[in-house]
Amino acid sequence: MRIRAGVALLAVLVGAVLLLAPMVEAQGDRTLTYAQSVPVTAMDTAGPSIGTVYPAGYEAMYLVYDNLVAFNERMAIVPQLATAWSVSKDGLTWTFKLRRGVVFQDGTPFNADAVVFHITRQIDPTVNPSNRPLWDPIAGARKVDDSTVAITTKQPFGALLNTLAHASGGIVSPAAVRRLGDGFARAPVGAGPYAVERLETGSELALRRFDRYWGGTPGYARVVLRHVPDPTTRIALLQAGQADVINAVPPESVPQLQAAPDVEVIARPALRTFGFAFNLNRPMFQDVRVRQAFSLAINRPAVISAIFKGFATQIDSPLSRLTTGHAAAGQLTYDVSRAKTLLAEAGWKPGPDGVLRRDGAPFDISVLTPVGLFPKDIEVTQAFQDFLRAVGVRASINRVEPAAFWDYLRVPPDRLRWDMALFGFNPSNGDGAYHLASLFESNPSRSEPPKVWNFAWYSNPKVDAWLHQADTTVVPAQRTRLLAQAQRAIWADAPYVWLYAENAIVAKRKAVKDVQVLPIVFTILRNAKP
Amino acid sequence: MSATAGRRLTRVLRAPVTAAGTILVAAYLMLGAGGPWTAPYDPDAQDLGAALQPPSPRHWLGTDDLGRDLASRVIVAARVDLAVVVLGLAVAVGTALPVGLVAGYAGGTADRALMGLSDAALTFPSLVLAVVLVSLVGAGLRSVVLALGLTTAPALARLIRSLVLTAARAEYVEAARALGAGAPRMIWRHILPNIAGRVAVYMTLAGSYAVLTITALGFLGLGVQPPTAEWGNMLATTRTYLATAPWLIAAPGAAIVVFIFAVNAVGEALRDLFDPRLVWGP
Amino acid sequence: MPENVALFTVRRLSLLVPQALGIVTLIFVLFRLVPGDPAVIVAGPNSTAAQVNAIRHELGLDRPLYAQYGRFVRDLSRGDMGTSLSLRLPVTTVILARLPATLVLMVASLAVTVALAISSGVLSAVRPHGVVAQAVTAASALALSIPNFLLGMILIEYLAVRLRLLPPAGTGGPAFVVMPTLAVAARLIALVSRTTRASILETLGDDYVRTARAKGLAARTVLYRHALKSAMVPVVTMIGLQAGYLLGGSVVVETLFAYQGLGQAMITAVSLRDYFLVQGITVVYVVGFLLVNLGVDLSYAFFDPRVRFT
Repeated sequence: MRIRAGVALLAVLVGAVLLLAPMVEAQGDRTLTYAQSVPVTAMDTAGPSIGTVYPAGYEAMYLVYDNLVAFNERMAIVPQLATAWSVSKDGLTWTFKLRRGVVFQDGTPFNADAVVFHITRQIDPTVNPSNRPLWDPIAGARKVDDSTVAITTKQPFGALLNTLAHASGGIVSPAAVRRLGDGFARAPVGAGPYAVERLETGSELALRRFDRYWGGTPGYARVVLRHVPDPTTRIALLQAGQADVINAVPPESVPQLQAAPDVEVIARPALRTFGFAFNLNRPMFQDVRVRQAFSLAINRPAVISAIFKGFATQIDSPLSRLTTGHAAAGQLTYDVSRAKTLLAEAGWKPGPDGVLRRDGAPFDISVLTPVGLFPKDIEVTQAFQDFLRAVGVRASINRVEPAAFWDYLRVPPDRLRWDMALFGFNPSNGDGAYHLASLFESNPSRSEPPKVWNFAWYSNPKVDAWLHQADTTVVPAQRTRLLAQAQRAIWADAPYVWLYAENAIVAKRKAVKDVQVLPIVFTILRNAKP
Repeated sequence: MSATAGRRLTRVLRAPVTAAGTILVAAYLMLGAGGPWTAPYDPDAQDLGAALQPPSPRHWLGTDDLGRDLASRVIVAARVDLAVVVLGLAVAVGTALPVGLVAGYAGGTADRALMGLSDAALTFPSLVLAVVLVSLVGAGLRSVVLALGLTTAPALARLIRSLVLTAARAEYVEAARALGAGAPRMIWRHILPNIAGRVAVYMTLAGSYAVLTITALGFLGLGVQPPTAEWGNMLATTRTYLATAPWLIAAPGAAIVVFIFAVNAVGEALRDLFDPRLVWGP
Repeated sequence: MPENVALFTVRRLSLLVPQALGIVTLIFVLFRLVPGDPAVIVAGPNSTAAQVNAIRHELGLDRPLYAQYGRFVRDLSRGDMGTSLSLRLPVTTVILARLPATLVLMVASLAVTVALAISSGVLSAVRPHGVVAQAVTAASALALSIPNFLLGMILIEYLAVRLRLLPPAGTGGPAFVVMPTLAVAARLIALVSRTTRASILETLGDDYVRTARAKGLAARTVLYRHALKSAMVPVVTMIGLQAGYLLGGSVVVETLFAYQGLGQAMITAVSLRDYFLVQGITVVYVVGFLLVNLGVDLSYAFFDPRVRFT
């Protein structure tokens, strides 16, 4: 008898679970749940860069912190904690008027001292080894009065406002930094609309509304950023109402989501451009004809339509068309016979098996790709492999975990273990000079890892000079001209097989209003309202 | 073979499920061994213009996201999955057979030490051990084979030991020993033939369990890595197409389910033949 | 009999100590002797030889193996499993946060298995050639052939996405446990159902059951009171045999359902190369396995009227 009673009890339990399910769903009314493809691990504006925090950590930081200035949806600069600003005639000193009556989430006041503390902390490379191209040009900050700050730059710095609007420009509470030390990264305190409630690293970040936010009551009582690595699961969560916003929607899932009555898809061209970087230390890639031939071998329209279902954009420069300073540098064409001719001119002749050979050695290369870090990374790499096969180049794919990927790039040149690598760079301050300098400025030392992301080890003194000049001018027309020159020179040198610019695809429930998707692929939830 | 065993064999083989299972397993083995040659198309040949075509007379199972023939992909994946199963089980037998034989035949301290070790190894859930090995050695075919072998070996060693113990007590074995036959000869002539059937039963059922482990690792991204096609990683990389191109999931999914079903059918038939009291293997 | 059971329990429990020491040793060997230097894994491929050496020293990996082993056992016995490199928290803290969800999943799986498998097993034993028995046989053949992640994918598509009966993924109330439980338990349900059927058919033919019947007890009473109880022995054995599958299944299924348990933490830790977290979670899984088998052994005493203690 005991066993029958047990069976009955279990049946009741299972039934209760099924009945309770809808109630569990209903109780999350004033919480905004955002299912992210990448986990939030740290939210300090300074500190070592952790590859995996991007873009999740930045998205969290845009909720926790306010900046002096901010990007609007068209990447134009708008006031935030600074209400007005001006530049001195020599272009070296910027003066900011600060918003009054603002407090940090720990109750301490926001004022000129806090800004000076923040800038000083950001520009110190020992405290903040990350995002150096953004902060290196700044010389320091000085308090003028309680609500006025002067920021000085070493040379005129055209992209200063972009740096301040960048996620690492979020103003930290000096008191909290002093109190928490290393723990600040996990429990940061800013002056933004949502304060950190709980961080379960790797899985979930819970934020609660900051009631004393200067900009009025934020739209939700709580915002939960949940790490859901699998795109299918994110979509299922959204469709079932368990998530309100999801990012990194795979292109093939867009029709399915568009068909759902209560879901809206936001797809917009973004600034991140992709390509396969050549390891320019390799002898076979010294010849520019080989690099050009690789580029001619790729049918980009087919990649964009078959793999991305049209949710990617052709590019005509290392920069996306939407990046500040973009200038068309040339066209990418698909021409297999021209590619073969160029390779033959460079001394690569097909052997009996169709594989190209030079001095008896077959054209074998290894292509590094992360899996699940970039949209459709492994698929694009496989397509690349097949396109290369068509011109007689044998490529093997070296696939690595996303977390390990950066370690394969950031090493001194003699320790690079790949011939080509898939890479996408997102100029997260929206500025082309930053993008070009990060990828193409000569590295200072060959015994060190690349200074930023120039792991192709590209070096062109002219490009270095133009980029330097562009960085030190505040006259927009002059900057644009210099950047255009640099783009054309880099394009001609072909250190990458350029592919496309991505489209950011975000989906949300229609009931959620004012979700912004910036072209720098960040989903901004600070203004979201039910 | 005795008369009863002969009758049993006939009866077992006549069961329609067994017959179907045997034919299916044979078909998988042939396709797998044939590898790229049995595939209708080059499994790596892409045609981005013909991506995601539904099943048709031209492409029986349709094409995948890069326009590759899915039937060909499933077939070369069968080759990979079957090879991993066979290699993994070979590692398991290679480890378990000497251990089991020595423990069972020699007894004493050697027995206690070896069985203590395999008991400790038995406490690793096989998938957990596989994940650990992958995290230490790195993902890929080698780790999967190693993990499979090492997780199958302890239980197999125990089984072999107990079978050896029973076989060694049989009268004719005792008689042979009394006549002065040496240990190697004893094992080779008398013990191995005696235990082979039961070991085969166990290995078959272990094979179907191995497919679960391999495909699960592939699905987690810790097993055989793309672009090498393997049923589990095919499912993982095309999951997002479930709504728009369900054949991408259905094809490798069905390949797994049918294969395990067939192996189980054969395994159960073997069990009825050699070891009717065994309820289930690993 | 009670003395007998008590003696058995004590003997079985005393086995735990050498067993635990054995597996701790095995884990140590596995993590230290497998090719691949933990200091290099921790430091990452970027690091210089000096950095690797510094980490090796910090972790005590430059000391002789026996000293490392001693430290490992001592730390473990204090509940110290090191620090998670990716989360910058003690491994023990991370594990304690994730353990409850996995326990819920495991207990729910066992409960569902016992409920579904025994009822279906009994039903198909009562009428071995009836429609129910055949349906159960077919269903269990299918359940044995489908990998848990594939079953999980199908459940998500139908129960969550199309019918919207259950949340598709995540951790929360009981509703979140239903699909992961079914995905993990399906194989076990099928195996236990078969076992139940086979052993009930067998015990119904046993002498003492025949005696009970001859004494005039109703068929139903015979089935429940006698046959079912002793038929539980092979069932429990089967659960013990499949404990490894159950625990391993939690790794796969938790990842599939974004269910915040130990298994999912383990896969994340592997992908972030979080050496000590992987090691700590391994310890927990192995200890879990040990405890399940302890439970299985102890329950023999409860279920079998003729239990023999050897």
